[in-house]
Amino acid sequence: MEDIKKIEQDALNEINLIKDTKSAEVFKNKYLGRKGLIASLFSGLAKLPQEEKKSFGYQVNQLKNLIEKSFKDKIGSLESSSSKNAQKFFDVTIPGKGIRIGTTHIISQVMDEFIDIFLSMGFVLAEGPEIETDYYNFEALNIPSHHPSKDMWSTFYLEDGKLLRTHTSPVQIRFMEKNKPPFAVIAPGKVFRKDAPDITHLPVFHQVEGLVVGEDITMSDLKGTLTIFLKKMFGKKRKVRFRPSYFPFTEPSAEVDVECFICNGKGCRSCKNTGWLEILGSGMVDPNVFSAVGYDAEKITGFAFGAGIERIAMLKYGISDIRMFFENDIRFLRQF
Amino acid sequence: MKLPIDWLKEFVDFDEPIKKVSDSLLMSGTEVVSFDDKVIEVDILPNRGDCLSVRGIAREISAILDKKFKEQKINLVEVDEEISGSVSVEVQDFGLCPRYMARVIKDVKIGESPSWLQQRLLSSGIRPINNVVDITNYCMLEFGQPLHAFDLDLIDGKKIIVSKAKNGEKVVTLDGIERILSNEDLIISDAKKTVAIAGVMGCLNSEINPSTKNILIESAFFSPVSINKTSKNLKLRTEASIRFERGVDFEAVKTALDKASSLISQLSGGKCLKGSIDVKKTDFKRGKIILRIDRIKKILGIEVPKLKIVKILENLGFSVKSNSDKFEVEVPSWRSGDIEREIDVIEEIARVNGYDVLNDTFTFIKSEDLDDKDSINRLKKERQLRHLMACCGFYEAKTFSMVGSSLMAKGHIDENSAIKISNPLIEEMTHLRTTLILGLLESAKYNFDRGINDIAIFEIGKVFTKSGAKEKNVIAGLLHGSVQRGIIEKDKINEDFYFIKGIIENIFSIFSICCVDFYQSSDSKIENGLGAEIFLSGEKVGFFGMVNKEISSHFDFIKPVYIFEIDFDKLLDLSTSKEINTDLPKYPAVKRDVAMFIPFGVSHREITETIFSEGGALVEDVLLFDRYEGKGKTSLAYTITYRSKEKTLTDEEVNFVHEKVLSALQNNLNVEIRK
Repeated sequence: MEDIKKIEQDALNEINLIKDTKSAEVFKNKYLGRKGLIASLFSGLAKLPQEEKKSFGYQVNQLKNLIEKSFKDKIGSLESSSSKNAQKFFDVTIPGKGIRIGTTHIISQVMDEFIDIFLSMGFVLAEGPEIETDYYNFEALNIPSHHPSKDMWSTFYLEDGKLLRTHTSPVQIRFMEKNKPPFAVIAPGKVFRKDAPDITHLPVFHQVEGLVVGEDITMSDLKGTLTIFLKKMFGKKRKVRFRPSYFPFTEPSAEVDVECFICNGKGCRSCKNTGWLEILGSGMVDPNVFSAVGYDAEKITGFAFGAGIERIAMLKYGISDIRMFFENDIRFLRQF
Repeated sequence: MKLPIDWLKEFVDFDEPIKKVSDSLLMSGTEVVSFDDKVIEVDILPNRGDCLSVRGIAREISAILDKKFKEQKINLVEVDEEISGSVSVEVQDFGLCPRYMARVIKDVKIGESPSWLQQRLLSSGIRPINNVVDITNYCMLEFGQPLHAFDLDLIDGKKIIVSKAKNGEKVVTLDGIERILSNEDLIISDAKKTVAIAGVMGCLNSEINPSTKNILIESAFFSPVSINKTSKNLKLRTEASIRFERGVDFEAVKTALDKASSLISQLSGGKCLKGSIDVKKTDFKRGKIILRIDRIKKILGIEVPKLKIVKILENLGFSVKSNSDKFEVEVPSWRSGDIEREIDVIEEIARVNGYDVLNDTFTFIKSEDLDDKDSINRLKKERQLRHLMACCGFYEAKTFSMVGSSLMAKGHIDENSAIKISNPLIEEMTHLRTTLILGLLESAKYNFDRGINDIAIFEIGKVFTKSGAKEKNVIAGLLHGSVQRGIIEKDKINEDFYFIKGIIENIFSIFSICCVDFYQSSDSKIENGLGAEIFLSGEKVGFFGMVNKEISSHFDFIKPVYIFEIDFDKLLDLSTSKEINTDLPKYPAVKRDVAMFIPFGVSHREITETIFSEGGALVEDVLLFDRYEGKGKTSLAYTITYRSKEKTLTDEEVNFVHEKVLSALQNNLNVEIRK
């Protein structure tokens, strides 16, 4: 009797341990095989007294049924889980269908970033023509004709005497002619210089121009505003510095440098070992510029700034040759 | 410009480390290119001609370190003989030459300069030549005033004339090169010949040579504009011309001349004749400017202490008379060119005081009165277009706005319709582009030549035409090969054509424009018939199609090239605000499919128009779902959706309309309905 109890206990324990067909086979032989434990219990039946035979036989039968059923259930569950693993092969690694995505140009992306920061600071957007007159491109910006300072911009002239704007600054004049202060405006666009293409020059490139004018705009506003912008653009931990410069249309003028984000200010090739990168030109609008648009330069003050987008993109992405932006090599374009 | 530090220290005492001096120079507007213990090299701003000199930079250092500038005495010993017996000077145009001075030194011995002098020149990057020439260069470096020495015995007629050159006049300059002058160039001549191109370079015919005995030293103020023009015309930039074109110091014309004369008589044994020639129309008067203290705050946003203002200005050589709330400031002669107004003085204070002490403030400007709706709308649409194109598999390209004649010819563009650049850089950039297609074709070729066969690129930018609106924004695209990923099903007829058309339809939907007409194109850029012109309310706004095989062969493409170009500005003009329909259908739709063989020449548009006009209000939608060509026949299959706004349609009602539609198709267009 104890035998039966023990066999039942062991068998139920061992069934749980069955993992694969091999261990199932071992179990089957041990308990249910021709020489297995159940069979030996049945063979022991003959030796028992008649009166015990019936009840013992009944119990052995019960045990046999129990083990057989449990074993069958286990095999069933094993099969169903293994049939999951042996699911029909389907190659999910074949490339997906449809259109592979293209990209917008890195210059457009940097330009968008630039514009969006200023729009978020309350600036409005303005545009101007790419074909300009000498008046808007130079004269109104305090750059008299035949003045040597005009040499700062090598200019393309057109057959009708007009020119391709050498900077986005003419948009300042056009905007001021049509609007009254106060205002803060940003003007992105394409500009042209008669410079032979090389690794740092292109005859066509992009600029963003900004202008803030009102009755109480000071150079401290210039510094504060551009610092906010540069920290948003290049990271809040970047150091920023303002140093004196010269532009005919601003006075005082400032060159704005950002701590080199390639070497973190330690000095490298990109920053010519200075630890700083020149990012923006800026300054307080020259009174002559205000006079040109009929503003009272005694009352009205303001600041202007401008930056080359290609230069910023080159620095940001470690691109050493500016010509890559206009070569349109797809292997370059698709990385952005 | 390279400056020996011991030379600078003759004018200002300082013991600060050079690193600190160079940082301070940078932060006050003088860029330091490099420095070591002996020499500091600077780049000056274009308005600071005075800084092209040892004295100029010494004065900057004096201001930023607040150390006194040390003036030097000149010991000039003259002999009794008067200069007037040796030479006379005539200035014909005071506008171009406001001041001309000269001194004569006799019995000089031409030889090598002493080594200290040679060393200073070499450290400054100038090659020593002989004692006289070296001293003129030395004084140029010290004062920023270019001087020129002539061999007096080679000056004919004892006469110097400052005048304009004759047109086409030829001279041989000191570098041995023959140069052709124009009547805009200022020259120095004697009674017979031209002896120098004023302010640029002397001529060989009056050069100081080993046997020179008597010399004339010229010190002048030439008009910056004139020297700039001549130097540009002759493509000749010299140490002299870069200083004259920035403006020299009217008073230093004399001091530099005296210093040079004293050095020459000391170092070459010459005798300086008594007096100097000084031809000028008017005497120079130092400018006076009123500086209001409160104006400084209005511009800078900070207050600068009065004492500090005075110190800065005085160290820079200004003299300052103080009143309660304003200063009267006298501008030194070497700054007369760039300091004329109050704001110019404020800049001096700001830059020496340092920009780092300015506050960081931000003034938010309320802009509710400024209308930039149009610009913002354009920006938005442009961004949408860019992203649409990227999602259609295209890469955004940027091409130059200028094109050349040969590219225009290759692309069948009439050169005469394009605006010409009168001073082109290279022959590939002689005209402004009239289309973006040429740039895209070139960019495609660039890729193709590098083994890339699947090319899909687009650009948004301005094109220019001689007539009408001179510049307008367009969007253009080019497809060579495929934008598909994965396994490409080949040989679908005109797959690319309809792919491009699909993109164009998407572009129109960005602008909420629906009534677009496509007419088969007869453009010579387009391969016969495989293209369309795009019309919006009767106006052409663009085109698309397969590039003509001849054009394509100019660029060596192997696969068909598809292009499109659409007038972006027109789309903006014609774009409508989206109408939102919240009255969604209540009753069920009934769909009927119909397939038909169509006779040659009948278009999809004619079929849909017929269905809509015959079916009337009950036709909600007509969808082409299959097109099949074979055995000389074309079959089209449509699903027509019928729906009423008022009720559920019965079978009979639908059948009635559908039959009417079918018979109209058969009768009007001769289609054969397939059963």
